[in-house]
Amino acid sequence: MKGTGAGKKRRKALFAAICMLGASGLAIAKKSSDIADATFEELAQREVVSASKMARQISDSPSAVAIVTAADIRAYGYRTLAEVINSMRGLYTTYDHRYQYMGGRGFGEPGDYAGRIMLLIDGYASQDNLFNQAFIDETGLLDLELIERVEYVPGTGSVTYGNNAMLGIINVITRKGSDFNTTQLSSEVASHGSTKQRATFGKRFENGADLLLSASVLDVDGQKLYFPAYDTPATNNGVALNKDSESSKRVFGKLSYEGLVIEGAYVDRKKQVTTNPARATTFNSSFPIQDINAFLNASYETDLSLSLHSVSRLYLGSTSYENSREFADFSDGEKFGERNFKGQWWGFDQKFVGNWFTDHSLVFGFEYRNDYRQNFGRTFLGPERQQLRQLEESYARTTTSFFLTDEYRFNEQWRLNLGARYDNASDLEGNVSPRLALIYQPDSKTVVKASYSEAFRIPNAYERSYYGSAVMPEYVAAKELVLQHDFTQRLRFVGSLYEFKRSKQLVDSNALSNVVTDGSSKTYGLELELEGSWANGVRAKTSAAFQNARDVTGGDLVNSPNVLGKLNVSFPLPGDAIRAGFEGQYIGSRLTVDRRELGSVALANLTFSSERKWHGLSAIFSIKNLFDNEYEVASPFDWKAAATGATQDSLRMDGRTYWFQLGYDF
Amino acid sequence: MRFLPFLLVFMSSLAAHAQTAVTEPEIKAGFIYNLALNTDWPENQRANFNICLLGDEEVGLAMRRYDARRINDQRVVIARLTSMTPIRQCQVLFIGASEIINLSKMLKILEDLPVLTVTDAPNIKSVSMLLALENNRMVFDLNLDQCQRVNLKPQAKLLRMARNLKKP
Repeated sequence: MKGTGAGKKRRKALFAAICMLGASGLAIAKKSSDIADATFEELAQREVVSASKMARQISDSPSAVAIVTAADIRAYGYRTLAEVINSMRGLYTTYDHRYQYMGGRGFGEPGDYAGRIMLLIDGYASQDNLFNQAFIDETGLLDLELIERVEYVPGTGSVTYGNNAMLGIINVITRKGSDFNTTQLSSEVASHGSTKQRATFGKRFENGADLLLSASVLDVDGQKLYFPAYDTPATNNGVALNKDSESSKRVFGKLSYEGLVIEGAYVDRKKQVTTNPARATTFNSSFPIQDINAFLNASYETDLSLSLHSVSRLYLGSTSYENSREFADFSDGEKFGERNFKGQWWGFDQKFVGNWFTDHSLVFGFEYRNDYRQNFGRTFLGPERQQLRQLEESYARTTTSFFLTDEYRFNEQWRLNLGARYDNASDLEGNVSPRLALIYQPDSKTVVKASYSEAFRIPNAYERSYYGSAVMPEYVAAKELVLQHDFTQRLRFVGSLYEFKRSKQLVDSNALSNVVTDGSSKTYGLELELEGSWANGVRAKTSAAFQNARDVTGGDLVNSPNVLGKLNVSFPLPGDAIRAGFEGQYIGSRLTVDRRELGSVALANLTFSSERKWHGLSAIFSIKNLFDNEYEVASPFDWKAAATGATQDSLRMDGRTYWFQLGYDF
Repeated sequence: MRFLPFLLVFMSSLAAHAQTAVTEPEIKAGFIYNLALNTDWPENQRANFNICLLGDEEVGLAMRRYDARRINDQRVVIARLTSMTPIRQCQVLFIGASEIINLSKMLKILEDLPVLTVTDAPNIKSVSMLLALENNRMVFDLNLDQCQRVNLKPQAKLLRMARNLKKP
């Protein structure tokens, strides 16, 4: 009895304490709004907490955004977007000696290209209109020296961007001419006979106009790769006869004047593929591919009144893919095949932001997109390269979209973000993608975001060509809880808990000997990240991602590791002239298309970069795969090698490689 | 267990104490409001008093709490701008560091209109009022020359509180 009495007392005391805590909490809340009522003299006496020194996210998204800045690109010697992506929390890339593919929360199946991801360059959606591929390797539109920052927004983005913003958005912001304010030349050498030259001109003119022009040429001799599945005397013991050479040419230009920005880019990448990437070809036959991508994007931002802002955008894009192959079996007389795929599109996007009501920020507008050219040309040639047969397929699609989002701040701590986008494609029924997010910001150091959203993806032109009318849109419903807390101005924690439910996915149907769209799957996971940046110049970031991704059969998703770890540390060496950047990456075990398990792998990269220019000179030296680890990644090749009957569901990656860049500013 | 209530109260008082410090955007917003409040404005027929902010999203958001207050017997409207197109409609124009590069252009657009120009970008001479942090306290410099040129009269309180005065 006595115990109970004491317990009651204790509970009472505790209750009283909680009441007091609540009351003082209220007092705090009141106090922070009291700033507005403080006299000027009081304000001048208040101590000011300086803002966080960490990079702030630009994207207006309730998910756990990852950021890589120009300083990181330099410190860690990144040369492609794929390398940038590989350093980000919960992400990894897979290379099949043709393209780099991106993997993350529930995606990354081999052969998926970098689809279901949106790659925005200064707001322009840069994927092609044939495969919806986002180009992140040497087919990419930008030299990394032109990038100011890369933000990765995990999860759905259909509420803002519509079709294909399904599982993540990569937001690339380019630099300004004034960031260079000179003519800059750079020359590079790297392993496998790689050289690259770049010339960049940047200037801000007296009248405020800002110009950036850049061009580069990359040339790689390549290496003779070894493929165990073809290790027979008849097939040169699995060693490719040709080197996997690669070349790439890029041009970029951007002109800004007041609210107007005109920007364009062009890239032409050629590569010899020595992996035997098609079922009907033989190992060690020639297989060159060429990818050309280009865009022109004009945007104009202005204030129509004090509370109505407008952003208009007109864009043109073009893509081209060509390859040439030699068939193993040409009993039908057709020995060579050529593919010539071309896509062209244009669109107009109008966005308004209305701040008519103090507590509401309304974003609304429309987009019209016309994919007027989606051509798939296939030519078949005889042994003397005479043309025997030609197939031409053409598609087109127009998409009209409307969107409306409201951000309602009911007080200094709480806001609600509510929005939807309606997309209507000419060949499909309309679709609505909603999003609901609640954001709680108890103080300037902490943010909690909870969101629910739906996104969709309409079949791309290649899928329509391949599967005909069987393909239909697929969907995802996503839930995410994010906690971001700044322990100090220089130490930040980000945690994210998420669940994706996908539906209407393509499934092979034996009964119909075709595909049906009734697959569904689930992915959930947890991501944790700690980032610090100290006054002595040390910057560090480390993250762990745990994910459980299932495929449409309920089994483990192919090429989806359960654990991913990242560690990035960079610091100035004594004397402050050179910065060292160390990068460690851990990829947990994952399955191949043949459901074979590939062991986990830990990789390290080390980079030294000059901190300051010396008579206009700067340099970067980078060692990738520092410890020369042998490792394999999952390949998209789901057929057995004809020579040995062996599986080729994995590909060996490079050992240690070196890269050196010398820059000169005039 | 007995100490728990005390611990909670102690922690909450700590939290309350920590809260007395305010963030940079909050204090800047407070300064902008008070600078405008303690200035004599020339006669005009407007119903609204437009406080425009360009080039600093954070200060723009913090400024919202002064919406619908009254300055010069006019209703305060907070305008978070993205371009310099409408700046002739502003009574106060705060120019954040990211837009300061366009300052001379903005001054040309404003001509001699009675617009109170404020910035927190360091070492800017041509605005009416300049905000700066000194020993974790916010301070301001007053450019009386510029104020006089656009017909604004800072009240005695501002003259007294200013860190530096630039006299005509």
